[in-house]
Amino acid sequence: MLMTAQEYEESLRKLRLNVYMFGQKLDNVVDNPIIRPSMNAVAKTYELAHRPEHSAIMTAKSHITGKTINRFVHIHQSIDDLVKKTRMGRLLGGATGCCFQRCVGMDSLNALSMTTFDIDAAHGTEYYRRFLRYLEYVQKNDLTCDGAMTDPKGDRSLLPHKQKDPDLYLHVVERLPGGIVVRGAKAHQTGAVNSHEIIVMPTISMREPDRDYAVSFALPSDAEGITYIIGRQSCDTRKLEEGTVDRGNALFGGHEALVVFDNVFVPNERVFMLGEYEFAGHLVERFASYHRQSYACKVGVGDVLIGAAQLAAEYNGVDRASHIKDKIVEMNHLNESLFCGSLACAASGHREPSGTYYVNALLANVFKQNVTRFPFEIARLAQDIAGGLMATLPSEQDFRSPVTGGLLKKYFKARDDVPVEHRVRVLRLIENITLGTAAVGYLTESMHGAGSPQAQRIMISRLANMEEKKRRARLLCGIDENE
Amino acid sequence: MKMNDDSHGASPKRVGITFCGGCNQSYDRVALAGNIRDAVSGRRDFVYSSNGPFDAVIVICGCDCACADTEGFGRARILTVRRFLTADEVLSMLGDLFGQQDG
Repeated sequence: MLMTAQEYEESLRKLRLNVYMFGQKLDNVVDNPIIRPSMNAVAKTYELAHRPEHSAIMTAKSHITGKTINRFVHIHQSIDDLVKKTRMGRLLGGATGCCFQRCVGMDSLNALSMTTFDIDAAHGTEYYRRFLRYLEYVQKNDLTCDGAMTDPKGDRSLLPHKQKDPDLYLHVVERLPGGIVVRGAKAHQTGAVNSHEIIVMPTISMREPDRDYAVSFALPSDAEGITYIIGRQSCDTRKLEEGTVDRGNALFGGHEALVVFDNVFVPNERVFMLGEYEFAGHLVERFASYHRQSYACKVGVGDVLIGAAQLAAEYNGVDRASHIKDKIVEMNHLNESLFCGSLACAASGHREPSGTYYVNALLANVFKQNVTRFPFEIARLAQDIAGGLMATLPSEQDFRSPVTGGLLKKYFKARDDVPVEHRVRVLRLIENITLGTAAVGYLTESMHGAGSPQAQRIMISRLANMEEKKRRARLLCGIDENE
Repeated sequence: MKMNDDSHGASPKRVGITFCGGCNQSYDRVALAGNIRDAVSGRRDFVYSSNGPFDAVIVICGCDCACADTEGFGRARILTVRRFLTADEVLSMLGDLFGQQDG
């Protein structure tokens, strides 16, 4: 089944989520003006799957049912699938100009498809069979899944079981015949309240004393005992103001939430790891590598930002200046370099024993390391080209005011053939992406999402095969290893 | 070169249109498809069809990568478009495709 965007929205209305924002419980999440743009962004993943000009990327054939499904619920069956995932990220980043939130569920499903298989091979458990049943349910209903990995983590110098408050890492508090009871929280959950399901995974490698923390499962997002507390974004309350100009992106946005699990029951058939602590790091690494590849979405957002910077230059009449041209070239160079990285880790992926195709982990980490840097430089250049007016513009209400509107249109006129409003709108878009609500996705999420920079450097260090590099150096400079 | 309607003297060729995924298109592929459909209507050598089997499929790709999957169209002739063209240019190429191969 391929849900339409409208069906997706209606399906969200049926959820009974326990959501708080600004200290108030939300009765209507879908129509809340601060959350609604993020729902629009997820809805785009449904809409484009129905469009013939995008279906080649947005859909796939299920390996378990043979039916056409949205790529976001697909398990990668080939290198081509991995490459199309990268392309899909760019497509949707460009279509929304923000985080469209659905990749984290896709990455969770794919990581679990490998880890559950591998746990079963080692322990004779039945996680993979459970996972496939769950996957079929997700595919059949074209669900959006939140992938919840990051625990609050408390004192970072202490292991999970050593924390003063044991709930700072999500853990099992009770084992019952029909399932388990869990308590804890997951932080920074992108798109959480736009999701039908929440897939929980451990956040770090673990040892035997942390076995109660080595747990993975899936629940309906409105399961009893789950609470969502929406995080703030800079400029978020502009969405409550009249008009759309000052929002920058009039249609789309993202959101993050702290998700609290207060003694939540998980039935056995939805448990995918329970105490197999030696596979916690395995799952983290696989999810992280997939999710690092997913940052191809930032290339799509970069496309929007570069386009906006070019428009700002043209509207100001400076687009022919050599230094402006050079800055635009640099922005494109950085953006396409990112695309290269995501494509490379996809194109050099491989088949795992489960049959799932897995990205090249070294290249995925190298790519994501660049994502922690390049969008910041692209944003800096965009602000350079935009000029200071981007940050000092009066409000849309001032432009509409009969008293001040005329003055603003007189003094903010640039090129004669460009309406002032067009100039204002493109500057607001640049502001939105580089320091407004969308900067959460384009900059901070690029820095810390899918792991902070040091996490990638640790992986690069582990995967770089230094012994082989040394062997080649010795060979070429005439050092006999046996001397 | 446009096909001479009388040169075939047979039923018009059924032409379908498909797309790549459009991750980084360099022109408006959907607009080109619309232009082609408009240009085909009123001609007697080609007829646009949304369902196969096709005599020819125009594959509208957004860039030179042309990554669209062209399998599954049976014996239909494939015309891949990689950059912006006018509908007339595409139909001319389509005519050439049949003219050359029917030769």
